[in-house]
Amino acid sequence: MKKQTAQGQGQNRTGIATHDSMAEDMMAAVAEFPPTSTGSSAGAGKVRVEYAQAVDPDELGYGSVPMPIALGRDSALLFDKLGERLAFERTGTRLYEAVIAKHEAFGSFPGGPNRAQLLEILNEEHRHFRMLEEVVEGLGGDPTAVTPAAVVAGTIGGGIVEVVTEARTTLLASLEAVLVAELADRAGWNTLIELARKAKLAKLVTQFEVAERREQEHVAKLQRWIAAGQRR
Amino acid sequence: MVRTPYSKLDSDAFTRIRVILMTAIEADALRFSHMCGRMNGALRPELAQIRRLEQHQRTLVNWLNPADQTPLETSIAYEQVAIEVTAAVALAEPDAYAAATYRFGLLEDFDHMYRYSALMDRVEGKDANAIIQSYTDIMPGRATSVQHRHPYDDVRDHYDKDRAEFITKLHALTIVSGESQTHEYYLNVGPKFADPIARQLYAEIASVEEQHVTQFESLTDPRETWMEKWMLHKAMEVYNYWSCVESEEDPKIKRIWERSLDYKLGQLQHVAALFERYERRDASSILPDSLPDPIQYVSHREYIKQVLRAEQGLSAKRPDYVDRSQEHPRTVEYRQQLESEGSASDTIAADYNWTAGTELSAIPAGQVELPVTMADETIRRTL
Repeated sequence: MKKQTAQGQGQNRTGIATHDSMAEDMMAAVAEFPPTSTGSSAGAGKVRVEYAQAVDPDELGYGSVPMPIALGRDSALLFDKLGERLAFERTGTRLYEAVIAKHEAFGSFPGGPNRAQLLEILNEEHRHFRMLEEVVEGLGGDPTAVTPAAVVAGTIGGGIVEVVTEARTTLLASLEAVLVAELADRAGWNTLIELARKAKLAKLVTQFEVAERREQEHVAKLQRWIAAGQRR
Repeated sequence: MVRTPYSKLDSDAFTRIRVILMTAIEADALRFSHMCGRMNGALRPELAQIRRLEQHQRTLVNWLNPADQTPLETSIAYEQVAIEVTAAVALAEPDAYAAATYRFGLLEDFDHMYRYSALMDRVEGKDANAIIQSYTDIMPGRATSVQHRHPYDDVRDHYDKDRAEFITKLHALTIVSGESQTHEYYLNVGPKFADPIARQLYAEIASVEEQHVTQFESLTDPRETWMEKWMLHKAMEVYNYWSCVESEEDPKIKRIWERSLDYKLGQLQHVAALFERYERRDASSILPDSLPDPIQYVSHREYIKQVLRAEQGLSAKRPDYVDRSQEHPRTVEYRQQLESEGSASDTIAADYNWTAGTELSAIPAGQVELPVTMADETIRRTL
């Protein structure tokens, strides 16, 4: 096997080809000492199925949706998703703050974003967050409450924050991480538009469509910057 | 041992507080037992047997924490434990010096919670109050940056084993258990964060938690024998599980506390018999007939503010609490050295006022401003 060198400085040691002779030892060892139990990786799946089925139906999900009683159970999904979007946009604001720090630390690249463009997106995320606060409040809800869908989105997005705030990642890597967030964000707005339409909340549909268009622009900008950074 | 955890969103913050404290107490039981085993060969089989129960009890309780509760959320909850439980202990403590020590530590952990809340708000855009549930205020205490003291100035005088009240001993063991767990936790999860300000903050607060372990540990009487300490630890475990049973409102979790209490009563009985066999004195010379009043799992908002107003400016000089202007030069020098490049706890909370829904909620839509050059940002301490 050929040894591979990671891009940039240094010698990546993670591959089997790093130490040819020891690779043979590794393979010889597993040949001599076989597994001590039979079955397959589906055994882990079995445990997952059993645990999932043992959860009390009332306790499924990360918790309950905090919502005004007057609206009834049909609105639970709408409120859950409003909470998700609200939390997402708020974290997104902080995410762009970290991207701007990265921009200051390393500067941009040909065809990459400038500070003003990043700050503009940051403030669009902030506008969306504040708009959703008003929407939740307007429907009689509590915008400070964390909904189960917000926990799902936050758990998914945790890795994005880690990539962007890490000192060792480049501006380009940060933009790639943020693109994942923006793609999810756009999909999230589309969901909200449909839920608002279903709930016959016409004014919200219009507001959400405007937000979704902004997010489309964010995705397009990020894709353009990333392509330029990768010289594609 | 591996059950459905509590809900981060729906469970009461005091349920989480109890889960965290009881995990800490089981951790301390294991820690003590291993140290005891290193020093007492004859006790090793007995220690090993009880330790296995402690291991599994710790797992049962600690695994009640849900995976969606992030390390930072858990850290904030740890500080809430340190604040509310220490406040309850300070109020119930009959020994004036020990009570002063709890108040002293309380104001410092109170400040840690504020700093971590600022970190959560400013890095993740999340409101710490979703964890704290409005039971505890999020505001500065004794600023973390002035909590760094020379090691000598964290050593306190110990209670007198022959004269101290039983509850004084239980309190010291309870609080040192909590602080030890917090200290270890920060050292473990600190490097899991990517953000350099988070890594710095965990390093800074972990250093203070080491001071706290030193401080609270030194309240206990070193003249107690190993057997006496073991029996007291078991009594403390019984007392704490019983306190949980008395206050828990979640029926599923309450059943766990009840079961755990039963185990601990058995362990106490066993260790008391060993104590009598090895030391040839009655366990009743150490243990009272009945337990003191349980720990009060309630919000101590007004009490904490009152302590903060009166004692924010205190520091410590060896065993005594003194005004910060009276600190020993070794502490002043130590702090200057430690903070020669600034303090992450000052940086992350610069001008930070907790706001419901994060501080972004207080900014008009789309008007977030950032300095043109963040590298020029100056942090000034206002103390």
